[in-house]
Amino acid sequence: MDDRVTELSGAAQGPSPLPQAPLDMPRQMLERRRRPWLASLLAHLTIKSA
Amino acid sequence: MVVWDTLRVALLLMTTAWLAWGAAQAVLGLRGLAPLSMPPARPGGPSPTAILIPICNEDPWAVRARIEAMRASVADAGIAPDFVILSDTAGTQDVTREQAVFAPLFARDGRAVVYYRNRKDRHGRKAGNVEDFIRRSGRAYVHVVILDADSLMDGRTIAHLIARMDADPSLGLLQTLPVIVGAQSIFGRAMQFAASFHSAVFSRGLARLQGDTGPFWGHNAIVRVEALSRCCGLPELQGLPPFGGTILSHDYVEAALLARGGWRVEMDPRIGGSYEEGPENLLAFARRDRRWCQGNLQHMRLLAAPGLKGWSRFVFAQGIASYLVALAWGAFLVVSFLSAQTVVGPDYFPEPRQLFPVFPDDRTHEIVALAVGIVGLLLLPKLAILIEATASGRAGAHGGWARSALSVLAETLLTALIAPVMLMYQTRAVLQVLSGQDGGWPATARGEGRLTLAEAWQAASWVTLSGIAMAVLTFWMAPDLVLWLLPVALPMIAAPLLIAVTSRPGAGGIFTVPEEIAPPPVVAAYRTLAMQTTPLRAVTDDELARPV
Repeated sequence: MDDRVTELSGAAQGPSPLPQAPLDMPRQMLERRRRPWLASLLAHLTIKSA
Repeated sequence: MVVWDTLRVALLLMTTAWLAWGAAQAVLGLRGLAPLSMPPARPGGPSPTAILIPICNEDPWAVRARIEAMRASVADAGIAPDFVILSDTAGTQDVTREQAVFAPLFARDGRAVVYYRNRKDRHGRKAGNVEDFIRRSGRAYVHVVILDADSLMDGRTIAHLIARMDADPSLGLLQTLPVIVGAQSIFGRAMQFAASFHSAVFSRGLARLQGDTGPFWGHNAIVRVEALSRCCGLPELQGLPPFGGTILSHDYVEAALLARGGWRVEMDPRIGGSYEEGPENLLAFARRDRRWCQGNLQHMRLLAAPGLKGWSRFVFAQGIASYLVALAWGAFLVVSFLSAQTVVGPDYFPEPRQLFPVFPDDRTHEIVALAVGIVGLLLLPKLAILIEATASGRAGAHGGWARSALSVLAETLLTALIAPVMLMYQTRAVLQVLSGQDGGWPATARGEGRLTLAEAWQAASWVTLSGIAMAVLTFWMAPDLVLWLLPVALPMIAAPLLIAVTSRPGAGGIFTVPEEIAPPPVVAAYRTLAMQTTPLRAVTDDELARPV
């Protein structure tokens, strides 16, 4: 059992932790990554000249 | 003059637009919705569902009584969801106490299972608490019903929510309209009545406007685990609080993210059997409002978030405007005062050698029309709702037409008295947030009720002093405005008295709500269980207080 949490259940028949059924929860993007305008311009020019 | 007038018109436009928006929702909600029908049962029984009860230093006896009441109610409804207490309670003694109080809930006796876990890393507050559960146990369930520590839900309502989710795989979240119960004070009962009498109509209007991009109010809702896990992993915002860090008003953001992910988010005000408690005095109300203010203003950062639906952005803007409008009312008063300072007397003979005087235009009619318009925007929706309630029979459940009318009148007067005080609290909250002060997200102090005059004075003396300063300054510099200012200044000056008096139990003859006349079974069961545990409180506290 994870020692960062304390789980209790089923006191009558011994401890019964929460169901172990992990599910991923990806972090959502809410803010656009700010790209410095100069870096953005250089990237644009580099692509054009390539 | 032109500058002042332009400013005043702009501020009036902001404030009246806000009032008009509220009135429009009421008008849209006057017509009833189609009757609610129970969807067909899912073959194989309802999908596995967990009822999540996130708590943080709550009264464990009250939480236990609510769970016991709901556990009996779901058994009556023929379903067996798991109950999961997600504790973020801190402090060894509080944690030990709540575990001791909850222990009898864990016995496996054939009733719905109750789980408990206490988190030591309280990252992400309530949203983080739920997320932690999904990460550990999400795959075991198809749906989760998210409650607050003071929520109560009837078993049949939970069964209905599960059936609706099972019947429509595109439905990501279904929000109920929780009814406030258990208010005792004048303030609490007035708010309880207003929520019961007016919100039914406002929420119908909202339901018509929002379509599939409904709101999430953080509790008393069912969410599809798949949708929640895919769309609602909230990031920390860049920078420090109040605008950076943990997202405080996470529920609005989660609703927007679910809609962005293609899930339907619906609020259905027809679903009954969903309850919560409200603040019992104006100070508790203002404290909660301070948290919401910071949470809503933080949404300024998310207005341009990629991929959000237009309505979601509008909901963010609306939440932000609901607090900025307080600032606009305050600014309107200040600008009106400054404008009066720059008024020059009329020039009856602007031209040299003019025979007849030129009288200035009489603008009394325009001023009166403006005042009537603003008051109309405030009062007409309430009047329309009173007529609707009488015609539909709703007034009968609120003590009859006469008592409902009296209650609406009393609630309107009380709101008018409270409004300038709340305006001050909201203005202070907005200025605090905009100047970078983080109010945090303290645990809700539930059940606190009656305040003494000394306590009210301690918390609101600054409002009184501001009111006195405003009245004296106006009397001294713009005496013509004094009468116009009195409805604002007097409640401010009397704020501590107003706060203390309205925190007392009372107003028994009015503010009647259906749940007072006939308490719903799950609410009645909770009260009985809560009373039964009263003698046990002292015993357990004494045992815990004994030195080991």
